Amino acid sequence: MKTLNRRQFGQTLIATGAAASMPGIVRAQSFPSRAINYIIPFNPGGESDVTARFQQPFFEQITGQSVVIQSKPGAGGATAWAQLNGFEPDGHTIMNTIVPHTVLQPAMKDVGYQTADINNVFFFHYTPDAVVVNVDSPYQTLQDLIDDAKANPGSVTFGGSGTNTANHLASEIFADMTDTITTYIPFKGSAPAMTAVLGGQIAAAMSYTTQGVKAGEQVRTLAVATEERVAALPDAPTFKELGFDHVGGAYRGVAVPAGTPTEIQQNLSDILQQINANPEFQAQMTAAGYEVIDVPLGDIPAFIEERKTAYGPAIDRLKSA
Amino acid sequence: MTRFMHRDIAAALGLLIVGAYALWEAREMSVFGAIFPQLAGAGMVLGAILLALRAAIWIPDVPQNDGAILRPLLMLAALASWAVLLPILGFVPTSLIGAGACMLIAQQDPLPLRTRALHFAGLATLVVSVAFLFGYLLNVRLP
Amino acid sequence: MLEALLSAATPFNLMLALIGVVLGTIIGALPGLSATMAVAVLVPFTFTMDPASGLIALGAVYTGAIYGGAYAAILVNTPGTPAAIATALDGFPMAKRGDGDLAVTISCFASAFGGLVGALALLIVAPPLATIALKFGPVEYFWLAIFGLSLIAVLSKGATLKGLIGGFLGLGLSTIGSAVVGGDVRYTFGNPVLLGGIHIIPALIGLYCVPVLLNMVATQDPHIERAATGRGTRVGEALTLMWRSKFNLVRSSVVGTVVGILPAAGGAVAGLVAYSEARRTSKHKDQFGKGAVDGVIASESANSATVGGGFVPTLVLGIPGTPPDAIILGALMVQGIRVGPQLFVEQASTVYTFIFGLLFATVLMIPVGLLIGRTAFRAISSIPKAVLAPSIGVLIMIGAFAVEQNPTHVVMMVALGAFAWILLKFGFEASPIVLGLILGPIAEQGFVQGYLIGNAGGNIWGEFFGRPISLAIIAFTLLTLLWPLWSDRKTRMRLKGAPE
Repeated sequence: MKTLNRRQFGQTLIATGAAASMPGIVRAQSFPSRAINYIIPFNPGGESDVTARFQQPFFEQITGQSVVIQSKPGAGGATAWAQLNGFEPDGHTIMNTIVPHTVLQPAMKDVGYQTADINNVFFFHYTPDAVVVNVDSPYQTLQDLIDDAKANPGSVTFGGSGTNTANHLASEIFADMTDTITTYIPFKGSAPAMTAVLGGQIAAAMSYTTQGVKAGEQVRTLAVATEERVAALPDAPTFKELGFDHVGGAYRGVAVPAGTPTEIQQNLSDILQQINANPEFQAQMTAAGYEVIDVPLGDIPAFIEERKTAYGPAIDRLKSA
Repeated sequence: MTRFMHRDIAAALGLLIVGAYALWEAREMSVFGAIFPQLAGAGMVLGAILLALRAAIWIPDVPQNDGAILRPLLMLAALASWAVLLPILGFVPTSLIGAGACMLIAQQDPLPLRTRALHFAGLATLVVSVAFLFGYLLNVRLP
Repeated sequence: MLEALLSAATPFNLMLALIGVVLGTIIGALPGLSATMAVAVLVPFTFTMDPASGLIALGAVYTGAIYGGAYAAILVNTPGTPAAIATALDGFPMAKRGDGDLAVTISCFASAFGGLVGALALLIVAPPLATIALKFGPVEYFWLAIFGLSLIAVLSKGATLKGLIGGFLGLGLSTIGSAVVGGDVRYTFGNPVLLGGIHIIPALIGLYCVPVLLNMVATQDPHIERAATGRGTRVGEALTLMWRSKFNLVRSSVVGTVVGILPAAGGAVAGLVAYSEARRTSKHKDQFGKGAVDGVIASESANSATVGGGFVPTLVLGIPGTPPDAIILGALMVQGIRVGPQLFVEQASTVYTFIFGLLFATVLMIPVGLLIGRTAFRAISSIPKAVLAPSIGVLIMIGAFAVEQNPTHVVMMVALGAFAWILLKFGFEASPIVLGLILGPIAEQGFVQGYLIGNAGGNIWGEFFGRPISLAIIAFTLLTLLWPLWSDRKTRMRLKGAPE
């Protein structure tokens, strides 16, 4: 699926090049006709908010309409997602979504929505998983950490953002593929988990590349879940290099309320793809540690199915725990 | 005075129900998710028992002055309908009605019509300027 | 340094600081509009400015908003922001007895003083101070929350049982929603809005303001005593009172700065801890809760000091000290400024210009605050109830709605208000409930995280009772709880021993 993304990325560049030269065709029926309400189901300052703010000026530049970013945090995003389909389905209200959250939450608990209720139109990037330790940590490499976890089952603590989240899932996947037992400690967001790493209260954070970038020289990133090394963290090896087949993280997309006309969904998908193709946007995203990908409207069902399959075993383990 | 005693018993009863409900619901939660709900529920039940026991053996000698009850209840009803109608009628109309109702409820002495009209005009200005402040300057999407 | 001072003092930056403080104060004064929202709304405007100016504008709005919360707390008993909870405890009783003007003036000076202490700490000792943020792990937050909760016993003098019950009710309310630890969906009745838990701002408005509004129409007495004519803003009196409690002022500002550095604590905790300490060390404990000037000084200086304190970990470690800091941090990232230990070296001019701008904004808060405060006091004490009640109605409706632009929050606010009003009739105060609601999640997460970490390390008891900062907080908690008993006994003994 990663290869799919890569290939698509190339196609996208061509497609958006064509789209940019024919703006009239791309945005038929003069959509959007007024300001767009972009709902972020998380607190301001987090990854979802930051990336939306990266998109905002380009969105406004392409469409000529303003984008109002609105934050409706709660329950790891579930509060907003459960309300998504109550908004007016005219494409002027769009919402940030995250896979695996929208797969994992309904699978684990009754959170007021099902995975199928979320009408994604585009996935624009993923924030790769990363194992981050304090710079003073005894773990120089991921192998050190694995060895310790094998010698003392359960004694290695992994902090992450909340329960039933991307971080929680990643720590399950990690335990699964390294055949270790670690203790997952849920925090209220990825920032507090990183604080606990900096303070030495926990051994490591199962976090994101972005957090490793943000904390700079105070931390060491032991592994990142990407195909190739992340530009912003050149010293951090990928899981693949270390012999573990793990690529992934928090895939962020944009969804619309159920019943939004297909042309409008396609328009939004095209606009978002056009933003993704902008080199300035890509540079901002890459510098902060995000991986830009294109999953346009047509590819969404296959993408979700593929992710569901990938998460299956880990979800089963979480359920039985 | 006896009324005050009964009052504590009534409070204890309500508290007991809430606490018991909290404990009942907590049965199905995961081990770590249940700790604080159980703590809160147990605290309420224990507090209810202590409150009832105290009310049975000790009658405080402070008479309670309630003040009028009709106006606050009317006010509460006005606020409740205001809250419910807000998304249906929109902010400005609901607030004009709500503020008008509150004004009538809060008025203790008969006032000349002119004063009332002036008061209402003042409130209407407030509603409109608040709507402008939030709707345009602060980017709040009003219903 | 001097260069930074000069570039902060350009007319443009000073104007930004002034506008920011005025806007922030007004936004903070409106119930429901928090400092977080004020900052979030302004962020997009700062993208067009150079980073230092943008930061000055945001810092000024933030400072103003934290201070503005005091007006609603003092004059309407509604903490406009959670940071002003402790201000309402004594501020509103002061206003009730006719000292509203004095309370507003004192809160202005105390805020400015606290703000200056916080900003100076940021200017002079930020990098070493930031390590405090890292010393606080889950267990320390757990004990800090317990310390805050111990204030319930102190606050509810004479009705300790009801106070404790209120605290448990608040704890219960705080568990509503999806749990951070365990992921359970608790007491939501299938309502998606409740999934996110009880939002603190509609809850504050409901629990504090609605009962005030309902009681307002129950009697003919004026809402608050009007000021005697010709007293002005009572600046001299306020300054004399502040000088008398200078130790309280300094201690509370330091408490505020330190608590501001702690990422999971925030202005509400700072105000409450400072208030609790002020009460413990006061010679007139019985005055607290009935309109003690020291209570207002403690709360306001502490919550304003969190502004500067909160910037310490934000800029040095990239860890937001308070929710508004998280937004400012996001804005910095968008502008391409990488925060971290190197910031004070690599971006020294931007950082120091910003800090000086923050200092100027804090000083500007004095005239702005006095002026707005006097207007607010005059307006609220002279408007007839028939206008005041509906006006407050309009403001709380929009306030509860604006938090997340959600009509359900408005309904929740009124429902909690009815609940608090009924409880008041049964002799239960709102403050213990609010303490439980705010501190419950901090205690819960700290406890479970501490337990899991202790369990992984094979030493749960050591985790909770073996760390020096934890032990210090436990000692303070015991001191707060036991001190009144001991000093009561001492007084009794002295009375017994004294000749009649």
